Amino acid sequence: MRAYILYKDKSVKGFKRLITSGGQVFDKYRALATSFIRYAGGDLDKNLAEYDAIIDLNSINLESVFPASYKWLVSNVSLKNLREYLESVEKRITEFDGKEDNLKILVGMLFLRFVLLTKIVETYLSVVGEIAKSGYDISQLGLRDIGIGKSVLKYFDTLQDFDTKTVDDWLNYKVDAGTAKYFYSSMKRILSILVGNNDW
Amino acid sequence: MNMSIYTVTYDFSEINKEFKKSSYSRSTKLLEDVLSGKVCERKRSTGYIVKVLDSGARFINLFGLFVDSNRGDIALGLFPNPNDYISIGNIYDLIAKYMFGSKEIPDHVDKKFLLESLKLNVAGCIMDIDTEVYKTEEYVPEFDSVILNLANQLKHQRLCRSFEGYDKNRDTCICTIIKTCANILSSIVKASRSFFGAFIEESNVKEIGANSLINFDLHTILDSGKPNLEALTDKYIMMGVSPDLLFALKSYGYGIKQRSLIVDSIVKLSNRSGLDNKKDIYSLGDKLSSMSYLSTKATAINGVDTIFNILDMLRAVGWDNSLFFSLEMIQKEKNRFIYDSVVNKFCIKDIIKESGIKESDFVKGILEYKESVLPVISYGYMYTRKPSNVGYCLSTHSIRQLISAGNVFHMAGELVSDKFKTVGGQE
Repeated sequence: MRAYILYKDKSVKGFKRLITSGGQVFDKYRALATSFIRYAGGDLDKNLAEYDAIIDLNSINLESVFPASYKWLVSNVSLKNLREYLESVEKRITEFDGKEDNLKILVGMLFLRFVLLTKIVETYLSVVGEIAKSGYDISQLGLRDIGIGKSVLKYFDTLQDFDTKTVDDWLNYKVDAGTAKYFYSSMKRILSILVGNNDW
Repeated sequence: MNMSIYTVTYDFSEINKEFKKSSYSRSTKLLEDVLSGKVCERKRSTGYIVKVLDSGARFINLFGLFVDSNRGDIALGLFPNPNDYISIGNIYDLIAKYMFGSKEIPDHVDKKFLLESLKLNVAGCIMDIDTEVYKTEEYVPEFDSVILNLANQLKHQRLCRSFEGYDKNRDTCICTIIKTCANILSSIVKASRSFFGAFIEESNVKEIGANSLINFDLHTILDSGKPNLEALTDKYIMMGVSPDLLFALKSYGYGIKQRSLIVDSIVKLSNRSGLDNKKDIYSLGDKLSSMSYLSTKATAINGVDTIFNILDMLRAVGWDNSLFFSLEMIQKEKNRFIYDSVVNKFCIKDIIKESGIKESDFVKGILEYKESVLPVISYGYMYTRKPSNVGYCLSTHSIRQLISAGNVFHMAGELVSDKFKTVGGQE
């Protein structure tokens, strides 16, 4: 879990900087994004500490928890790459002048991945935490055992495609107004589902 | 948690003036009696509401009233927020008065256990408790589970000796408590209906938020002939009525007609002189608790009152969602692991066996509770505030959220990804 926690902490800082310096990078869903970032940088830490008191988080290896075909979502390498990717986007943010939609979609994808991953991890921890309190051994419990199998994860296959795209690819990305608008509305809808219902 | 109690003042004089202008003859007298604590037999000055914050209350639906097993507060509203509620009385004061004939429950009696025994097993309420046994380490509940505790008592069949200082007939006292709770509930429901009138009975989901009439006069809304609960709520808020009070009152709205009839019949029945059929009284007690949400389908399930009581208790300790989720796991993955964990943890098999309920009926009861109760608790925004999640109980909601979000993302993600594949894909 150490790699995830480091990824989480760095991402929260990175997204906070983007909100303050990156203009309307979160477009229509700014309020929801801000709400989640605030949660991820505050109450989520408290929740993780509570889970840690029951199940030693260091003993959880997310690569074993996720199905084999979805290890790419949580491998140490991939999480480190995501952190570094976000940093490189920040460094090159001025190059997106005049290509604001490109930047917004890129950051949106990174942010959504962060939110989804956090949601999955926290759901997993809450379930196994309760089971651990009953005295049962949770070391063999994976996502599939708690109902998050391929039927849920298949929707995030597209995220893997974006792993291959460099910042230069995004700078050269050809996006029309219609696609951008549809994307922002979708992001707002997705975040309303995940964040807006005050489960956090 | 640092609990704080503070008061919110209220003055209904302006509203009473407006009521007089409308064609409805109404007053806020009933509501004021509820808020002052008068209906709960508590002497309190009028003109303010008692709010309790951050108390970490553990609410049990006891004979229709939501009471906190920790402090004994009787909260206004159905399914109140444990960390933010209005208190209108204290159940322990009433139990002390009617069961012990004193101002307070004797120290040697475990109040929480007594309350939760009344909730779970009225007919076989263990009134005579072996207090020494209960206070030994053998019965200190490992997980603060009253169900586990009670199940252990049943399992070992510990017999009892009388309370000291308790010299009244046991059944009469229980009847009196049930009758008192029924009277309180009846008063609250009447106050709620009086304050919101026909709006609370006839509003439906389609009218929520539609045609907000906040610029209208109150009596225009009342005389409009068009029920719109949200518009009326907005108007009351503008007039200075506490939103928390309004939400709490509105929560009785769901099935309010049915509830009023049942409560009134229970009050009449329990007031009837010569009533000495214990079984009827106990079943009425169970019905009072579960009547908030009993459907016709539910009544066909054997032991549904007991099952709903068990699920109420699981909800109070934050384990109801785990049980619902476990049934989904059995259905989809043929995996009983979580179901067995929950059922064993709370010795539910022992409890339902003692009550003569089959496991198949128990499962039917769980599904019915999930179908008919959860929508009121979790999604009945019209009438209730969404209760906060206490602790980190499992949410089956989370998985559905992931699927819904994933579905939306799948389409948007593919569209964005496709743009990388267009000819040139580059400027």
